[in-house]
Amino acid sequence: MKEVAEELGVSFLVKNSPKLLDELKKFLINHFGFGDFVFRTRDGEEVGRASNLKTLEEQLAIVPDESILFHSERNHFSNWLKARTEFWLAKHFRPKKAEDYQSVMELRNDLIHNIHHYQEMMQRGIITEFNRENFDPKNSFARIGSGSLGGKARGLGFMNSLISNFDISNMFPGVDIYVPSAVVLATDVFDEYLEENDLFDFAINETNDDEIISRFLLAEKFPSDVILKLIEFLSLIKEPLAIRSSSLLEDSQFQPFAGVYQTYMIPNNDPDLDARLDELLQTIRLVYASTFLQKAKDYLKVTSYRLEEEKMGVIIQKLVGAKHENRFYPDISGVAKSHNFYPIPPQKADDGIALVALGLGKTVVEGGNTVRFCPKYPKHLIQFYSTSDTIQNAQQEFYALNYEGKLYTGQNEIPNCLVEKYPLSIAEKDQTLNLLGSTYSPENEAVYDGISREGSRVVTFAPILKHKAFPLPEVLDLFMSFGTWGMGTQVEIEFAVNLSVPKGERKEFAMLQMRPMVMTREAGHIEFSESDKDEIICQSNKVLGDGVYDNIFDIVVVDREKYDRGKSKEIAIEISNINQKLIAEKKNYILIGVGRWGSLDPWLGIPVTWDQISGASVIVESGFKDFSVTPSQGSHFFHNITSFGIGYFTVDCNTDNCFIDWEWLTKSKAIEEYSFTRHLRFKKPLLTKISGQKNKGVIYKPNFLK
Amino acid sequence: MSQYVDDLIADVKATNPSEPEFHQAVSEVAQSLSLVLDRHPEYRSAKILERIIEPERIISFRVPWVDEQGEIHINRGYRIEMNSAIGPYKGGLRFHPSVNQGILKFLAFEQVFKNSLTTLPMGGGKGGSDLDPKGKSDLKIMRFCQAFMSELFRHIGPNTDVPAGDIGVGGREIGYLFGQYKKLRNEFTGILTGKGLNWGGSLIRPEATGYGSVYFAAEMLQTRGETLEGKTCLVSGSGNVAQYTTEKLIQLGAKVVTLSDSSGYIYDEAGIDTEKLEFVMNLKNVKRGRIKEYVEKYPDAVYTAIDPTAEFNPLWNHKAECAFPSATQNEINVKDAQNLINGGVYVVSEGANMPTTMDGIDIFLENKILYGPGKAANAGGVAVSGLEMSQNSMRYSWSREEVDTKLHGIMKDIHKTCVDTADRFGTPGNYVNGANIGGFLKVADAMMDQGVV
Repeated sequence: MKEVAEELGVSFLVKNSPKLLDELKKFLINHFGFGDFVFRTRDGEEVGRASNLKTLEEQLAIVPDESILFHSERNHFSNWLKARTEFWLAKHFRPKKAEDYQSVMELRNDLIHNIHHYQEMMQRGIITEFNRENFDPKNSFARIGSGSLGGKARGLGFMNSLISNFDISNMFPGVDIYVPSAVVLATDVFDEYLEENDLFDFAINETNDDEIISRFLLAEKFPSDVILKLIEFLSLIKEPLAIRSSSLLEDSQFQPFAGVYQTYMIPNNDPDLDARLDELLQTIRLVYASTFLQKAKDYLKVTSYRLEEEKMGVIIQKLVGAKHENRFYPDISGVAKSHNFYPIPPQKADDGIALVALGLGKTVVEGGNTVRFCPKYPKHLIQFYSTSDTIQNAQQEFYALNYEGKLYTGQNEIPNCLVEKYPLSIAEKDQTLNLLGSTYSPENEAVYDGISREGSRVVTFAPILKHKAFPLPEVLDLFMSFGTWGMGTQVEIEFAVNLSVPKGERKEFAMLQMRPMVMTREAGHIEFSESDKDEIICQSNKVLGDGVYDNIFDIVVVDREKYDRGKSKEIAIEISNINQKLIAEKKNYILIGVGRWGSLDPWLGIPVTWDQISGASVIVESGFKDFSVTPSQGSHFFHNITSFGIGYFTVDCNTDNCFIDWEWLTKSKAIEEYSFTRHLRFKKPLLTKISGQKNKGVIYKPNFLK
Repeated sequence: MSQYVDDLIADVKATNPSEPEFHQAVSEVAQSLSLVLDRHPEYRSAKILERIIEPERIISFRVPWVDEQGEIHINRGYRIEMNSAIGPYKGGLRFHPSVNQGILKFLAFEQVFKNSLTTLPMGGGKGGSDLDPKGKSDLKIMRFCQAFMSELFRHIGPNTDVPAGDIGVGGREIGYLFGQYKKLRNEFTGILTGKGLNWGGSLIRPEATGYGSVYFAAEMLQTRGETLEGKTCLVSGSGNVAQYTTEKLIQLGAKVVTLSDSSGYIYDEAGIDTEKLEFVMNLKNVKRGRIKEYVEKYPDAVYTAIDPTAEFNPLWNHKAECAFPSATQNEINVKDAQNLINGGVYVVSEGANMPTTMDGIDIFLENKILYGPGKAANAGGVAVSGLEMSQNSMRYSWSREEVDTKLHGIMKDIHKTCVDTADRFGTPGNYVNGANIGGFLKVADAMMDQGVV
C-alpha cells in the first residue's frame, strides 16, 4: 500500500501505527508549512533550509534552479508564507507561475526582491518595545512586556503597518489618518501581576464580582519595570486615555468576544504625575479583574476555551477627540463592516455598511440611534426616508468623557463611570453639530440638511454624506477593501473622527480597531443540504439576514384562504394577541403572512407595528393570491430587523427556488385558531438557514432535524 | 331604495374590476346616503350618484427619469380628477410602490366629501406614482419629482387642480415639484399646498387638527348652552393632534387628565397644565421618550401600562365630561364606549381618523351624547390646506392668529352643516348623518346646478 501511495506521489500514514501522532506531526510540519522551509530537488534531496524570511531570502540566492522550480510549481512558497500569516507576500506569489518568467534566474530574482522589499516595509510599521526616546506621542505604537499582545493589539499593529506601508495617512487631502499612539501591556505582565499578588486561584474560583474587583484593586504589586515605563509614557501623553482589554481570545475570527471585557476612559489630566499613574494602574487592575467576572466566565463556557487559557493584554491608548469645556469627545465614532447582511438594492452585500454617531462610541456599541449608510452609496439613507422616520431614527443624545471627573475616589470602591450623556443642544454649543446635524421643521413637515435654520436638531450626517464636507465614505471604503484584502476575510473596523481641530490643521481620522468580522459561526459556508421540496416549508432567494435558527417551534401564519384585504386591521390585532402570549412564554416564532408587513395602507398588507410582532425571529412576506403588490423586503421595519438580526424572507413568486407550502401549513394542526390567523406549534424545531452571502434562505419542516 | 344601491354597487364592481378598495368606499357612501336618496328622487333621476362615482378625468402618464448613475427608470404617474363641482380639484399626491389607479380612485372619492364638508371651495382629487422613495438619494428624488411635474404641470393650476402632499410626499418633495412647475410655467402661483413657510406655506398646520377638534367640541357643547371651561377631558395619544388638542383645551379653561402612547397612559388628576404640556412636547418631539417618563417628573400622576389581553382600554374608564380620541384607529371599542358613557362622558370629538369602531359609534348614538365623528371633527388639517390656497390667491400671508381665527370659523361652519343637515333629515343631534349627508349635498347640489357636464 505504501508503495502505491509513493508511486502516486501522495503521503501515507497507517492509522494503527504506534507512532501515528509523531508521524502526523511530521507530516503537518513538512507539508502544511508549519516548520522550516526545506528546499528539495525533485527526487527529495534536501538542498537548503530556511526558518524565517531572512534565511529564506539568503537560501533563495544559493539553492539550485531545479529546487526553485520544484517549489514554485507547487505553490510551496505561498503556502509556507501563508502559514506564517505573511498574507501580503503569499498573495503576491500565489498567482505567479514558473512559466510567467523567462528564466529561472528571473523567477529567483523576483522572489528575492519581493521578500527583501517586504521585510523592509514591515520594519516601518513594527511594534517595538516602548522606549521614551523614539516614541512619538501622536501615532507610535509600542509594547511593554514580552508575551502576546492579545487580539485587539494585533489588529492595531496590523493597521499601523498598513497605514505606514501604503502611506495612507496622506491619501486624502486635509485628513490625517492614523492609529492613535498606544502602548500595549503584553500578557506576561498579566501573568506576573496575578502571580505576584497570588490572585489566580482566587479569581478562577470566586463567583462574586464585587469581591473580585475589590481584591484586584487592593492587589498593589506591579512589576517595577512596567511601572517605570508607564511613568515614561505618562510623561509624554497628558491627554485622556482609553484603557482597553486585549485578551488572547478576543477578536479571533470564530469567537465574538466584543463587549465581554471592560474598557475604561480616564481624563489623565491631573497636574500630579503620581496621581495620573495611580489612576492608570487602577484601571489596568480593573481590566485584569474583568477577565474573571461572571459575564466573562459565562461567556467562555459557551466557547471551546477554558478560563486558564485566557490571558489579558491591555491597550493604553490616547483618546481621540477634542476638549469642549469640561467634555472630551470625538465628533464621530463608528463601526464599519465590509459585509452587509441587509443590503438594499443597489447596494450589494460586499459593499459593506457603516454605523456612525456623534460623540463617543458607546452610542454605536450599545445599539443606540445611529446613522447607517453604505460607503458606496452614502446618499441612500433608508432610515431617513420620511420626516417621521427621520425623527424616530435619529440620534438625540451623545456620550462624552467628563473631563473634570475622577474615576476612582478611594480604595475598594466601584469606579465611577466618567462617560456621560449630553443633549444635542450641548453639541450645538460646542460647534460639533455643524457637519453632522439637520433641522426638523414641524411647520413645513420637513427635515433640512444642516443647522442654519430654526427648528429642532437631529443627527443625520447630511453635510458629510450628502455634501461631502468630509470624505468619510471614501476613507471607510478604502479601509474595508484594504482590511479585507490584508486579513483575507471580511473585517469590522472601529474608528473615531476629530473634526474640531484648530483652523488650518488637518482633520483626524483615527483607526481604533480592525478585526475579522464575526459572521456567526456558520456564516460564509452555510450548506443547504439536498432536500426534497416536500421537506421544505418555505424557500427564497430574496432573504435578508444570516445564520441558522434551530430552536423555533412555533409558526404564526395568516390563513391565505380566509385572508380578506378589507380585514387586515383585524388580522393585525389577532397577530398582536398571539405575539403577546408567545413573548410571555419566551418563545420565538416564524411569522408568515401575505402582503407587505407593516404596510401603512391596510389594503396592501397587514398594518402591524413592530411591537405587535416583536417576538418573531423569522418573518416571511408573500404575495397575495389574486393581486400583485411590490414586496417591501422588510423596509418598514428595517431598523428593527437589522438591530435584532431577524431573518426576512420575501416570497413573491412560485418556482422551485421560491415558494411556500401553503397546503402543508393549512393541514398542520393549530393550537390556536382565530378568524384569519393560525398558531402552529411543533414538537421538533423548525430549522431555518439563511446565507447572507447568497441572500438565500430555507425553512425546513420539523421532521427535517432528526 | 336598497335595490337601487345594490344594483349600483354591482355595476361598480362589474365596470371597475380589481379595485376592491373603491368598491368598499362606494358601498359605504351609497348606504349612508339612502336617507337622502329615499327622500329626494331628483338626485336619483339626475344620476348624481352614478356621476359622482365616475372620475371627471383620469390622467395616467409615463415618468421617465435618469438617476445619478445614468440609469434610466420608468415609473407610472397618475392624477385622478374626481370632482370639481364646488372648486378646483384638491387632494394629495402619494409616492409609494403600492400606488395604482384603484387605490387612488378610492382615495379621491373620499376626498370629494371630506373637502366639501370643510365648506371651502375645494373639489376632490388624488394622484401619485408607484415610485418607492425609501433609500433614494435627494438627487434621485429631485429628478423624479421634476420628471413627474414635467407632465403633470399641463393638467394642474391654481384654478384647476391644486395637489398637496400625502404618503411619501413631504416638504422636500413639495419643494422640488413646485420648483419644476415654476420653471416650466414661468409663474409663481399656489399650485401646491404644504409649501415651505418662507415661500407660500401657511402657519398653524401642525396645530390645525388638534385645535379643530376642540373648536368642534366647543360648538357641540354650545348647542346645550355649555362651554369647555371647567370640563374634565380625557385625551388619548401624545403626538401632534393630542398635544395641540391639550393646548387648546387648556387655553379654553378645560382640565386634561390623560395622555397616552403605544405602551400605556398617564392619569394626572390635578390636570395637565401649560408647564406639564411643555414637558410632554419636549419629551415626545425632541427626546422621543415614552409617556411613562411623565410620572417620573410628576409623581402625583399615575402610569398604567397597556395590557394587550384586556378587552378594554382603562384610559376611557375615568370620570370625565369630554373625550378626545387623538391616537389611532379603533382605539374605542364597544366596551370602551360603554365605559365612557358610564364615566359621565357626554362629548366625544374625534381628532384621530376613525378611532371608534362601528358598534362603539352605535353606543354613542343610542345614548344621544354629543359625538363628533372624525370626518367632521378632524377636518382642521384639510381646512388649513384650503386657507393656504386662499392666502396664495390673495398673495398675502396671514398671521398665526388670523389663520387660527379662520380655522375656528371653518370648524363652526362644519358644525353648523352637520347640525342643520341632521335636523333636516329627521335625525337631530346625529353628527354622523349630518357629516355624511352634508358633505354629499353640497357637491350634489352644485352638480345639479351646473347641468350634465
